[in-house]
Amino acid sequence: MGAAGLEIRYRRLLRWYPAGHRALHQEEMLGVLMAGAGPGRNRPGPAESADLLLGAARIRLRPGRALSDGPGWRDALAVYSIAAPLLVLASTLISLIGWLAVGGSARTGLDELSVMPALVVSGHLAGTTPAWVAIGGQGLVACALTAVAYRTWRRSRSAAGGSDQSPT
Amino acid sequence: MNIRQMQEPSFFILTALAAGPQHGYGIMTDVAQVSDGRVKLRAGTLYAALDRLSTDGLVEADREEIVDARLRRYYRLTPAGHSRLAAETARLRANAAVAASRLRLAGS
Repeated sequence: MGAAGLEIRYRRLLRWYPAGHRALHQEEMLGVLMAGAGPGRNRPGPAESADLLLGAARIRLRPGRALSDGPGWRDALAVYSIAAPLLVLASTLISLIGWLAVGGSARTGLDELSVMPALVVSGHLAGTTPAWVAIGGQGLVACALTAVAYRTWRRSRSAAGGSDQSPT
Repeated sequence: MNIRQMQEPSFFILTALAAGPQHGYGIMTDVAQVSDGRVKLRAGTLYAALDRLSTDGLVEADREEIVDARLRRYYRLTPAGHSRLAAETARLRANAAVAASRLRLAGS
């Protein structure tokens, strides 16, 4: 599961790259990422994730490059620039909590939530979502991530304290 | 092509490729080695730099291989990339020479 899970998570991050770049470089980048990942690693580190998102932003912002097919990419980029640091912060917090708690089970919920900003932004790119929905969506995701983090922390703390109230 | 100062990742990528074509992971390990571990390129930085460098015509794809079911694309320096790296090297050398002579003046 480790390597396959890691690859899925890298693919998820690579979705932030422009379609043209992905068509040409996605498999190649995946090869580099997997070669660079140490044995036993099952998720990208926060610094590596941030670097991938920054790389995607830099490539999209390149002068003369078509940023997207649809209108409204400026709004989407604005949203993206808010969402990326939030997600990185959230994933760092969750990793920290996971580390403080028992381990694997402390990460439930994050993977599903981390896809949401991509969906909202791509919806906006497709012209189906107004900017305020996209921005509101980012806020909701940030709140949800915080809630998941808090719940996980509570659960792991009560489990560690011996008074286990939440069966899993 | 604009002649603004070259970013350090770009400088080291061109330096890595000056010795011959290399694939992405090869560039990463080579850059870490020639910079004494000081410059550690991550994949996002590497591919953003390669995107810029190939847009500027300084590097180009050389060939592709499949190793362990993974695609490896090799990159090489173009003639323009070669002269750009030479120009950047001359610029850095001139800067260093000025600084060194001033330090000698101050030290004597």
